[in-house]
Amino acid sequence: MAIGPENALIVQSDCSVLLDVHAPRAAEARAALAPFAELVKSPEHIHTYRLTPLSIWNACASGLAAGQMVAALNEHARYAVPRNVEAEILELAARYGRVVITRDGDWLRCTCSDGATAERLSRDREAGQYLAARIDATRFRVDPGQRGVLKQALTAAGFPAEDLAGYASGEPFPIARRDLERQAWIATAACVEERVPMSARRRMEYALADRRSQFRIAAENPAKLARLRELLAIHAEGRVLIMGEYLSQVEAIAREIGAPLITGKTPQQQRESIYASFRRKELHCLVLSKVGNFAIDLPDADVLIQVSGAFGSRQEEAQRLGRILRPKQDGRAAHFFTLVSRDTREEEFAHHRKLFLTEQGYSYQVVVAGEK
Amino acid sequence: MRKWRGEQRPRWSRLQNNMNYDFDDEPTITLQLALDSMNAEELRKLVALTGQKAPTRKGDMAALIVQHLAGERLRTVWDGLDELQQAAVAEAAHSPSSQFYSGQFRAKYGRDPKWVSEGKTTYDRKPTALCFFLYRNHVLPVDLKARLLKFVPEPRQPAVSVLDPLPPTYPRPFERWNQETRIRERGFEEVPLTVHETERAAQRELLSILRLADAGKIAVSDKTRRASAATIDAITAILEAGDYYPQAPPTDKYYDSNTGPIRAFAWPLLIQAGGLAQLAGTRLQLTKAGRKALSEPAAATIRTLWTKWLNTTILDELARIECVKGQTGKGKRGLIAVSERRAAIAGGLAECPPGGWVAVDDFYRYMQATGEELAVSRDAWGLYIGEQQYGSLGNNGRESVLNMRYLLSLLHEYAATLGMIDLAVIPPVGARDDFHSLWGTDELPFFSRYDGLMYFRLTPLGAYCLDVEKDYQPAPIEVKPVLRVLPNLEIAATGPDLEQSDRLALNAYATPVSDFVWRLDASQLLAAIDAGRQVTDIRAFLAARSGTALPDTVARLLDDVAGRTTLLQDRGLARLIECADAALAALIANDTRTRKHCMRAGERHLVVTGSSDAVFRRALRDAGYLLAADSKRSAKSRDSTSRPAAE
Repeated sequence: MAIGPENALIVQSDCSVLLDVHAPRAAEARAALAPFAELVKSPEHIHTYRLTPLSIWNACASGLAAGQMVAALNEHARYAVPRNVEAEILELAARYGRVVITRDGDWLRCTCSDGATAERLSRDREAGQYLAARIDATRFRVDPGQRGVLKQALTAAGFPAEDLAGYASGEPFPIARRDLERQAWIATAACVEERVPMSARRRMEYALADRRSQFRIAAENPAKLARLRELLAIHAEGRVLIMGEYLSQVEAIAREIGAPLITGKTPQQQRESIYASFRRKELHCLVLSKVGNFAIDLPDADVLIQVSGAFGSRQEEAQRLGRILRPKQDGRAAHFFTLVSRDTREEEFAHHRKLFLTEQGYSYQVVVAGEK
Repeated sequence: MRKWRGEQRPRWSRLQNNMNYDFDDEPTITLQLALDSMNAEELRKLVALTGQKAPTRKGDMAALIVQHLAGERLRTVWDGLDELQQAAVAEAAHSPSSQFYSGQFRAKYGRDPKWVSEGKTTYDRKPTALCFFLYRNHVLPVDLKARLLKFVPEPRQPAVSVLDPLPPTYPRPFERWNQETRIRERGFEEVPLTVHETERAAQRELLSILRLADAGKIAVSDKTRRASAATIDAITAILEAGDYYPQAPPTDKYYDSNTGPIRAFAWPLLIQAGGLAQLAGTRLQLTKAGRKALSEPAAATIRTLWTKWLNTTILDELARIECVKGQTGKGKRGLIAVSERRAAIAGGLAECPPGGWVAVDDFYRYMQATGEELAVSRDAWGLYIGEQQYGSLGNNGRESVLNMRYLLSLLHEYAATLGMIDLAVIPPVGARDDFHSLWGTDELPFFSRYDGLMYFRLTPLGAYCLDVEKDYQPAPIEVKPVLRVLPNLEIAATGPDLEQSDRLALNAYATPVSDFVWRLDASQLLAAIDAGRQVTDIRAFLAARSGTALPDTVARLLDDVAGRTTLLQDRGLARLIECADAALAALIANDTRTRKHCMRAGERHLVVTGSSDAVFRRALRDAGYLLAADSKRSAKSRDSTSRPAAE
């Protein structure tokens, strides 16, 4: 199919590729693109892929020819594919196979396409140390135990090895969370940023504080408690986790709402006891410090309210969201609330975390107290 | 609808006719007076037409002619005229001035009526019966007119000829030497017409130009108000599909057939004349009206631009016909006011049926036929090509070359740029040959850069601007979702036709990330708002170009930015006063005379707003202190301390 406005791919000169998921042949285009491009982000409507050396070489390793990659782009491109992108693909793909690893008895043999390449690799600081002995002008003997690190070094040097020595690795299977959701492996999630104003007194305290302290003052905004209570009332039937960054804050919350608190100091036995109660639905709500980010198994949690977070940490955002993404037996959606103090630096950090989730494909709603 | 008839004709138009007919101030003449003004030879020729023997005395000959036209015999004589002659009599009879305008008649009927019989020599030629009606200088006597009006029907009204459909080619005249046959060949060759549909493009271009001006990227001369060469290039780059004709590097420095800019030339002048932009230094900046125009329907703005252009003196379009010299010298005296010239053309345009293709030459003839004939100069002797003596345009017939070029200029460069007319053009080189007989034109590739304009079509926008239609109902613009606004604050250009104006707007509001992606961020939005844009404009733009509601994250970002733009207000400059010590600062800040006019700023400083400066100084003197000048400041700065200014 020729270039046309109905096609799904927009290939840009910086080697990024936009996939319009609403295009008629979007699924076909995605299938054609995915073998040789990395998914960078997948917000609603438009997904962004990037053609990288590694993605091209991985494609080559899986048997995809450069011409097929270029043809796939041309077939699904909405606008003309920039010439430099085609040239980049051909150039990168041409590098694959210039170094070949084969088996040679108990050893491995690394064969370069020409003497210059062999000479260059032998002098490479990383790759050179794994090329044990030179057989001739273009061939080296390699210790089988160094096979993995050698291949990494060759890739870093820009000459990915074509491994014909019988190595059979498992193929990576990159799966976006949204894809898993569609396949019902994880629950769907509604993300909401709740902006809570600070009192005039606290605003003044915030204004006079140094920059680092400002974040904490905003994070521990006492007005969040009122909104927290409202959310708990709304989700009275849900399994609610409340997570925060600061111990004093989570302790105060746990005390105010009468819910058990788990922190790093909580003994393992007590933790397991609380978890068990939560699983048995004897507990409706748990308050956790940032220990809740990791290694917690609460399959029935379907509401997470984070009252404070670690600045703009995307990792933490993903970990916390992951707490409630286990599939629900009744198919109900998970709810992910972030309480943020209005007109503070907390908004800025929340903004970064929010962008991360939207780029993962989650819809994000921003609610300002008093505007509802 | 405006038609110039008789006394209503504009002054320049009457002047034109006065060159042929000197009757404007002539007292009303009767048949007897007209006959009395003729000599015996003229009367004898006229009497010969009656078939009777001519008396010898003038008075008897005149009486015989009066008798010949008396009573019902007038009808008989009129019936004896051919169709064209009857039309000539009808034109004069139904004209308020009782005059016969030969130029107007020729334009309307295509040829002159028969005044004299066939003959090899002047002596052989005899007057025709038409001369019983129209006397010296083609005037119809009032007594004859009154009788004729009883039976002579009104002449047909001239109409603009409309082509349906527009032909794909134009027969361009050619004249070339055939080396093989050794003869000069003349004929016509078919040249493909290029159609420019301007209505929507003009509305988009207007916004692009305004945004360009808003960005401070339009540099113009403070004397001529014309844009600089670099600005012309910048404007050409944002015009939809570029200017009308592509520019190529000239291969011969003595023969450059490039037209140069047309739309790119016109836009900066139009927005200046329309009061949308004004000169600030060397660059244009938007006026309040210009800024308002950014958020208003472009059609209304274009109508204003056209209305104001009709009367502007920022440019005489004739100046764009560079081969015509003398415009700033002797020829300037005879030039008719540009506003009158433009009004005449606007009046003619208003007669054109919207949507119908009209040949420019037919339109020119139509204007002449209706009396809206166009004249650039009442005395073209001062205008010339190349050399004032040989190349003067004052010779009879040469004015039409000039008049036609002025018409082309206004239509092509301004009416079309504003989207009032669509154009069908051919390359200007060789497009017209009406100037080939003029002295000094051998080396000209064309008389004007507008020579290629062959047909035009009045658009609905044009009809609105010309008051033909009261309201402008923009043709429903096809909603093209050319952008996709993403929840991660990115904007992707997904449509096939992302226009230059869209790119300009996106660059103003968002940060380019890659070829087809922009990212919204608060700082760039604040910069755009600081430059005078409105959040509502940004929101409307994104919604219109994406065709869907904005994602919540984007809407919230815009709300946040909008909210923050109103939290701080500029209250003007203030003066900072340093006190010798904290105690003195506290004393003045709490003194009942001075405390109302100042406020503490730190331990030893006071701040006085500009508006309170004078009263604070008086109060300070009352309190026993004086404000000393800053010893560290230069003498120049000290001078300025008498004025309230920022310290």
